[in-house]
Amino acid sequence: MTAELIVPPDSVMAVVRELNAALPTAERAAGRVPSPRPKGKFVRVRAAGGAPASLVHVTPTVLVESYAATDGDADDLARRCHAIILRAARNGWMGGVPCADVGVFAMPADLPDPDTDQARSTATYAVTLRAA
Amino acid sequence: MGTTIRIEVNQAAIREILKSDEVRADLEARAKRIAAAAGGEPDYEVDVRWGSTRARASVRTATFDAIRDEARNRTLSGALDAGR
Repeated sequence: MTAELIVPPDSVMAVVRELNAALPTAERAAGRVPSPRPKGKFVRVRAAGGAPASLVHVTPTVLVESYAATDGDADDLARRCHAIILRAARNGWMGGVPCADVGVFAMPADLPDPDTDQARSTATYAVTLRAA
Repeated sequence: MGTTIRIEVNQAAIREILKSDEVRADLEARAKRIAAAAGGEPDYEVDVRWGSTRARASVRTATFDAIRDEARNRTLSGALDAGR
């Protein structure tokens, strides 16, 4: 008998869906920088490795980068994203995916992007999700 | 009726463990693995020190190239798993 195939969930899309369900339409989240690049606020979610947590759970490292015209706006957006992500952990669901826990590697911090004049605030999370 | 289990935490012993040579060495080894995964010296430096309540280790960008690489590609952030 062949063992069941257990495919880990798409952590980036889970976080993107969770953020977009809560953020205003002018502050959309995506897995890559939209084209054309928005002049206002947007959020980029990136995967950065991680590890299995159990047979059916994974804990990917997720980078959340909040862009805006000013440092203050980028920090404000990043802190709201932070709140949305932690709330998802308390609710047990992240963008429709069962979420067991969210660990915070790093709270939002200013990290200028050398490729643009926009301000950027970044935070790093360990999101424990369950395979469907 | 269930059995009551009482746990007493020895706070002084925990503080001693957090500042022990063994914990410091473990943290240093983890930090070195992260630095190596990111690209190693001279671009990334490891610092280990005694904090007021525990041993601490950090990895930091040490060159302009590493700073730019972290800002553009998040190379050091992506190397965190090496410290598990």
